[in-house]
Parts: sequence; C-alpha cells; structure tokens
Amino acid sequence: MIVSVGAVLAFAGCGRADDRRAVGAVTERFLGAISDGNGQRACAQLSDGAQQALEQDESKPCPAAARELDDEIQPSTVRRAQVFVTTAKVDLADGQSAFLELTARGWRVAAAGCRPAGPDEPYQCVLEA
Amino acid sequence: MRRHTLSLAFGALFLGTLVAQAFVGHADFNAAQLAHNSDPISLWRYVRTSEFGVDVLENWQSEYLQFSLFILGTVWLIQRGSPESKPPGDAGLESDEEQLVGRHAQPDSPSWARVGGWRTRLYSNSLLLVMGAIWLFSWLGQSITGRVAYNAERFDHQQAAISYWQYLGSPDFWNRTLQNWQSEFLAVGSMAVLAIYLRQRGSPESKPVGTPHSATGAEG
Repeated sequence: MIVSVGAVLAFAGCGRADDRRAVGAVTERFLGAISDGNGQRACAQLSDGAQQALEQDESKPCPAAARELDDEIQPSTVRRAQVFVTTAKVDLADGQSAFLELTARGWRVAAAGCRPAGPDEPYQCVLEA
Repeated sequence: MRRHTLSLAFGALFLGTLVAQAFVGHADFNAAQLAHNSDPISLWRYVRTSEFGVDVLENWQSEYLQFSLFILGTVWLIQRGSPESKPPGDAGLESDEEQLVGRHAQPDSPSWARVGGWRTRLYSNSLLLVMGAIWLFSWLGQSITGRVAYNAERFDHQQAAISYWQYLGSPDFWNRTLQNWQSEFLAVGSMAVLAIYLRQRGSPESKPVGTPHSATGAEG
C-alpha cells in the first residue's frame, strides 16, 4: 500500500523538469518575437484563447495586434518557472509574469504582461485569454 | 483459492473501480478543459497528474483512518448489543492468557506472540501501527497532490501559487479531508448501531439471526 502511495506521488512528479524548461523556452520565444516585431512568431506562442482575446481587443488579426504589444511587454529573462498539472507560471526578472497552459500544440502563453494586483487577487495582465 | 475468496473478490473490485475511476475522471477533467476553452489531454497523461492522484489518495487516507480508529476504539469503547463491540466489562488490552501471548501461546501461535519482549509488544500493536502508517502516508500524499491540483486551478485564474504549508491551512485541503472523514465515521457508527437490531444471516459482521438484541460481541 505504501509502495502504491509512493507510485502515485512519483507519477505525479514525472516530467515536471522538462515542462519547466519548455514553459521557460516558450515564454522567451514569445518575448523575443514581440521585441523583434515578429507578430507571426509571437502569435504562434499564444494559446487559441489568448489569440482570440488579442484579436477581439485590438480589432485586427493577431500578427498585427502582437506587433503593437512591445510598448507594454518588454523582453526579460526567466527567473522562475512553476508547473502544476496543465498550467504554468513563468516569473521574469523585470517583475512581470506569464501564465501558460498545455495545449495540443504544446505549452502556449495564455496570459502575458502580468503583474500582481494584491494579496491573493488575480494578476493584472496586458494580454489574457 | 476458495480459502481466499474474500481478499480476491475485494482486490478485483478495487482494481476494477480504480480503472473505472481513471476513465471517468479523465472524461470529467477533459469536459472541464473544454468548458475553459482549453485542450483535452490523453488518459495516460491524466493518470500521471495530481488531479487523479488527489482523487485517489483523499479516499485512501480516510478509509485507513476509519479502520485505524475503529481498531483502536474497539479496544476500549463498548457498544452494548453490537457484534462490533466486546462485551461490557471486557474493555482494555485483556490479559496475556486471553491474548495467548508469552507462556500462554499455542503451538501454532505466531512466533512473535510467544517470544516476549519488544517483539511481542510490537506484534501486539502491529495491525494498528501498519494501518495508521498507511493512513498517515496517504494523507501526506493527499496534501502533496492536492496542493498541485489547487495551484493548477489558481494559475487558471491568474493567481499566484501557494506554498505547501499554506495549503495545509487552506479550506481546500480541509474540505477534501473532512468530507471524507464524516462519511467514514458515519458508516462505522451506523454499522455499530444497526447491527444491534438487524441481521445478515451467514456474515461474521452480523449476530446470528436469532441472537437477542442485548447480546454483545456475538458473530454469525
């Protein structure tokens, strides 16, 4: 029985290091694409929900809307990545955070340019699904 | 094999229902994913998540707590008329002669019942110790996997994750714990009382059908 409990715990922890590396890489690719003005590449890092939200908010196709995010979302380096089940949060060196979700295409950014709002309150994000 | 039908039957039931839980849990998880405009995940990925882990372990810990407390409680607590109870006046650890330990052990008694010293003391409490250890370990597992599942939900709402110690004080952890505990204690308590007045012919969990309600500790 104790072995079974251990197996459940081990299973639950499997592959988390790979996921942490992956979410960090996706976040850096997204920030790099914003900084380079590459809207197509930036949108490719977004979840479907985040793309739709961006298009609705800006009333233009995602690549065009993403090119205009460089005023609000600056490039930065990954300070910490946390993964829980199919969601993740990447904290950046400049104090921003990004939230990611696991999609059929792999990890994708669901919210970006996020900063804490208050104790236990949802982060305020520039872009969110 | 005929001498082990009870353990085999319940072992098969456990495995069958665990597999079934994996399938329906996976379907339920993916339904929630779609409702949140997220993508579904595979069954293999799901059974390796803490979502599945906490759903399994929160039930395991409460079952083993139930049995641990029942084993411990029936040493000292009495329920007149119940087959689950010792007769009034027999509360406590009983004598070595009644427990067949030391010089009172039988030729086919377990060796640690006969040998005395720490080994007999340990063996005399081995059932409670093991059941209690499984309870604690599975409750620990529930707390670890429960925190992961809870933080996944927080990230879904763009909230920061909480630490393990914060989770131990959270309503989510205690809601999962207490909703399981209340049902276990209700089951044991109602079994102890219902078995005073009701019968199931052939089951050792019941008094023989014609036994008086006032008879305590009689088994069918």
